[in-house]
Amino acid sequence: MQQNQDLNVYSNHRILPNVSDKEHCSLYSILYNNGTYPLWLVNKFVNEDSQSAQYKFTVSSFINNNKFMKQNIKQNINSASLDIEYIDLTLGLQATSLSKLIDTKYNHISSKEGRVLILEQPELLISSMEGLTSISLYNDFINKLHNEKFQHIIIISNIDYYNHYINSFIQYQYTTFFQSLQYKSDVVFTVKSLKTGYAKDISGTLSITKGGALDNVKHTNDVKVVENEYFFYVVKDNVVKLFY
Amino acid sequence: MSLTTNNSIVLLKRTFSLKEQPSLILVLDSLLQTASSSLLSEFKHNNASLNVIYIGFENSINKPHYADHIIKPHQHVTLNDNESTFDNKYLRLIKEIESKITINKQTLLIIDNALYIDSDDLLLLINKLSYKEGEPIPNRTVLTVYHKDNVDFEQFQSKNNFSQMTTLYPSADQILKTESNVILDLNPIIKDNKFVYDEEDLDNNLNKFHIPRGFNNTKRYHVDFTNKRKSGRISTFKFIINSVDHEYIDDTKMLKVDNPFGNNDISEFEGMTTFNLQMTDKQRKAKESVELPFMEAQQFSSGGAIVYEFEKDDDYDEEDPYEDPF
Repeated sequence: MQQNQDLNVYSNHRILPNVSDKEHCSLYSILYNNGTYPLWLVNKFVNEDSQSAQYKFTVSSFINNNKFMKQNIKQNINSASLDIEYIDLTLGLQATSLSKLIDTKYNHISSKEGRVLILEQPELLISSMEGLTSISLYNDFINKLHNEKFQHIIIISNIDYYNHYINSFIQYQYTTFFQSLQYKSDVVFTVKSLKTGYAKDISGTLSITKGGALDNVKHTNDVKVVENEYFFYVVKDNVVKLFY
Repeated sequence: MSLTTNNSIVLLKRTFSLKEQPSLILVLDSLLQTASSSLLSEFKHNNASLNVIYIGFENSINKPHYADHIIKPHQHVTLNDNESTFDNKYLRLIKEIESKITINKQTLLIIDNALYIDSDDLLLLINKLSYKEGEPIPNRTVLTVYHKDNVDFEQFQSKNNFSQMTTLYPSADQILKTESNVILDLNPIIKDNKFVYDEEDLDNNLNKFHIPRGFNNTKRYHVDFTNKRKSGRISTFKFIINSVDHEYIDDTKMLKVDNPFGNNDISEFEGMTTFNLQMTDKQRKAKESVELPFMEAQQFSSGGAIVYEFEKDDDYDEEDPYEDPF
């Protein structure tokens, strides 16, 4: 059995962005295909970062309800107590206005310092809300949350919807959503299944790449994103080994 | 030769410091080499007194270190309503921008990126920002970023004939390319990247939206710099730019000419001839300093006219040689 590697995102061996730099807000994106559902990676963020107790996590999903998220994103038994809040957005797909959605679901959050939002598949709103453009999804929902409620946002998206050959209004909005996401992200995590299909001891690859956003962190603290590619193997739910 | 390459770097630096005062700069970037993480910092670096205002449609969260002010357009622009007029949509944004500008200070307005503005509003917005009462506003330059890989929805519409109006209207990148004085086209150096095999491999990855490692490299990337002069002359240079140490290398002349005669490279013939083709530096200098006869005659300085000098033995002929003899 291969040796288990620790997950590293920054050159100072941290996974989550710094909270002490209050001016800096980060955007992570986790891109996956059908068959590589990456909640284990979020679990690693929450549990394996050396200072994760400093953060206040909020988990919101458009496809899975609170019950499911509580089962799958939780603290390990032996780690320090974590502050995780679950806000169910599955019914958010029925919303007719983005600002109303923020008002009803996130009204109680007043300061964004140290807050991390794990947001699953916000792009589904493009399909559910009539005439919604990806520009307005960013402007009226994600940017608003990022400016007012959360210091860091982790977006989990299924890139099976990405297609460069545009044949409809909605397809165009999905494609620009993913492209914009790459331009805005500080770090991009791509979870791929194996090209060959199936192997006994490898489930897929996880690559960590720098996104298109300006590396402000590096500019101020000289901490940079370490681009890397790992193999991962899902031993059982929530037990995932990483190795080179 | 070396003179022209020096000129190109000087020209690039003058452009970055806005000494040439271009009214519109277009920066073309892509997922693999974004402008916001690389090139945009060069302007502030080359001219520290510049007042840089970043209008962050793309990034409205963090103020970049190369900007003095950030404007978060989503707070000022109302985009929900497609029916609303230009003034309804953008007047508040323009007011907000104007409030950050000091009149006597050289100002750079960065619009990142142009796709967030409807292409029929784009030109008007740029115009309102750079002209006042028909005169260009002094000390002001607008820079727009355009993502090359973004599929233009209007082009898609025109292909599908959804709307007659849009088919007749040029797309945002066409408008920007013709209107701008300076075009900076950013590209990653694919050859340097050890994580992709070739361009085809890269395309395969990008089609699945898998972004390989090693891109968005701020230390080494290609820039195609197109400068349009007032005379209408357009010149294009290639640079390799390092935004970490702010170094520029002219890459134009490094476009190798394959013909060995074309670039006077005779090293390929070494050892193949029975006589010496090489030249020492001293010989080269001597060769260059030889003044060839009839060089003056080849200059055609008199513009092709017949110059006739009257000499003392010539007799002056009053007759018109072209006169009809009958």
